[in-house]
Amino acid sequence: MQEGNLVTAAEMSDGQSGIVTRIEGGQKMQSRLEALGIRPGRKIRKVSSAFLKGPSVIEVEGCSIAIGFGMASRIYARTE
Amino acid sequence: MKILLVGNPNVGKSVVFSRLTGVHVLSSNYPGSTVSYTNGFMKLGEEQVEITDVPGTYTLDPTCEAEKVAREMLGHGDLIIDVVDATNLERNLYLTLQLLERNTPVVVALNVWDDARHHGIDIDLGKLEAALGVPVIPTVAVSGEGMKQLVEALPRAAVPAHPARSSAERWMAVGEIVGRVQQVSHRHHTWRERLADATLRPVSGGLIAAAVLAGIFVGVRLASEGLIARVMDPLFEGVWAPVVLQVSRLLGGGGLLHDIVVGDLAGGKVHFVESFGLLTSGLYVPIAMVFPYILSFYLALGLLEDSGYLPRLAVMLDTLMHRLGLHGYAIIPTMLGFGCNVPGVMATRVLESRRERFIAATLISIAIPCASLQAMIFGLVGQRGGRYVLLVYAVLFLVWMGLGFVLRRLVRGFTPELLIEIPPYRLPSPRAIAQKLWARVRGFFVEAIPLVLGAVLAVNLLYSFGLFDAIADFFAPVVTTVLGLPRESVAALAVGFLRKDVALGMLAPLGLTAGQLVVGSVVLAMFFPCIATFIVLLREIGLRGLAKSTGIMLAATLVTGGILNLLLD
Repeated sequence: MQEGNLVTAAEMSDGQSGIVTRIEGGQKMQSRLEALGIRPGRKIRKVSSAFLKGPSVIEVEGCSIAIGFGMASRIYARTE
Repeated sequence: MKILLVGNPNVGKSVVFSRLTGVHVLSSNYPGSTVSYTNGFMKLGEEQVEITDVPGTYTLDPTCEAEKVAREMLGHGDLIIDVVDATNLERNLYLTLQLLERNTPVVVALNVWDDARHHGIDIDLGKLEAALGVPVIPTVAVSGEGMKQLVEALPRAAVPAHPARSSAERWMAVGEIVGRVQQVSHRHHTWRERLADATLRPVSGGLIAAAVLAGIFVGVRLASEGLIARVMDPLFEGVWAPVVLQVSRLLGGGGLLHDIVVGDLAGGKVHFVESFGLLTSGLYVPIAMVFPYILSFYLALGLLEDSGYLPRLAVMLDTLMHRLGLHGYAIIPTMLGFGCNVPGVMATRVLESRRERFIAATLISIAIPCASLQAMIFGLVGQRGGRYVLLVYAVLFLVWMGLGFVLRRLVRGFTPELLIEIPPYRLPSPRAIAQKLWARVRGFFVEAIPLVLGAVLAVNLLYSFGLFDAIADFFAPVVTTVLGLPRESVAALAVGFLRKDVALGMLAPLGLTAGQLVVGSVVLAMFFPCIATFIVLLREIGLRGLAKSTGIMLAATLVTGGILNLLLD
């Protein structure tokens, strides 16, 4: 299988899946995302993103989570 | 003994709470519907035990305000019922392990058990109990399944003495447990899920949001008008009016008592809005004019809440709301505000920062008309033509946007980014919808109708003692020049502090032009929230916040009313 690209959750296109590699940000943000199941090693699927730097919705373990643009831009994933 | 119900947001804690205590709590399908903790009691054997419904939390590391509250409350419990969403075992177990690292006995309620099976999730209960070291009871709180077993398991609650772990170790342990006890049969995305995704995409989601909101507006209006025209009006005109006329004769057709009880029967006919007696306007306004709107609005809101659409609406509106210094989730308190500003302002607690709470509460109390006022706007302004009703709504919408835009610049602090879990769509259960509707309708009858009667009584007394004249003289210059309303409308604006619906009813006999009625409706909507809203505002944003909010309100009302007066004159 071809090695995927490293993109942020905000940049992923709808329906695309990837494995989270790294989350940039403070401890507080990391632990909030972690509590929702988003942490390195997890598979995420992009559901949608809004216009004008609106929130992205990603699915992790069958659960949809809406994430603001800034935060979504700091979640890096390797696409499949 | 004190039992705490703890769990992730939106796993059904409040439903479990209602089942155990018989205390009815409003619950909905979105995270954060329980904004304050609720206490109730149940009998356990011979003992009366207290149960507390703790606001949902993902972790005991206090990363936000709600989590701090939950964490502090944990210190006060003797036993914890950890409500776990079986469809989301991994994320939920993180909190479970944190709870097990403490010294309080725990029982796990594995809720939404039926959905898990439908999703092809198979959880080995025996293995899960062994791994956690505490009883695990599968439950379906909405139907009551497993509740008896849950209560029976309480005496077996255990402190399994899990070692304290770092968060990485805890996730490892969770992963390990989930791998051992859970099997998921692989399945593809169904068309329903594709449809669900469509409600989140910018174009399709935007169209769906517009359709849903327009559908509610039109649907509520049609249902209410139908109820008024087919049921309420025939009932009042045909059955009640003769009774009122009889009472009027008994009271001698005039005098103070007659004016209070029956009101002014000009031309010997009952005018239910204008007569303004306890038995006429006092009953007709709340029951015939407002109640149909309360009923249909809350039915629509209940369906919307329980379906799980509201968080999706929050996502769709997030970009817009950020321009107002809020994030999308503020749409939930706002929607509640369209029913009654009181629960709307209370629900601003779901917002994280003080700034957001202040902005949201201020915008709701100024620019969001409650169902009672809306019913009167439809009833009275609607008589002059639908375009005037639309004008009132358009003006209030512009005020909401404009004021939010200004507040975003003026209010210090920050608005955090959106980070919410979006619950799965669920088909609302008719029973839950009916219960919720009943609780809200009963609230209206118990709280609003006495207040309406009180307001009508007060107005009659103040008129007969000439007190309104004194108030009117004082405020008349502003009201007549800036707002272009007649001097008599001062009394109506003052009554708006008690009940907005009664206040708008008082404008009816003044012979206003359509333009004046529009100004009057907008001013009533914006000007002083009713006393009940005022009290919750004080509680939620404090005295200083309330003072600021009131200043903003006065300025915004005079500016808007003044401009509108100039334009419509």
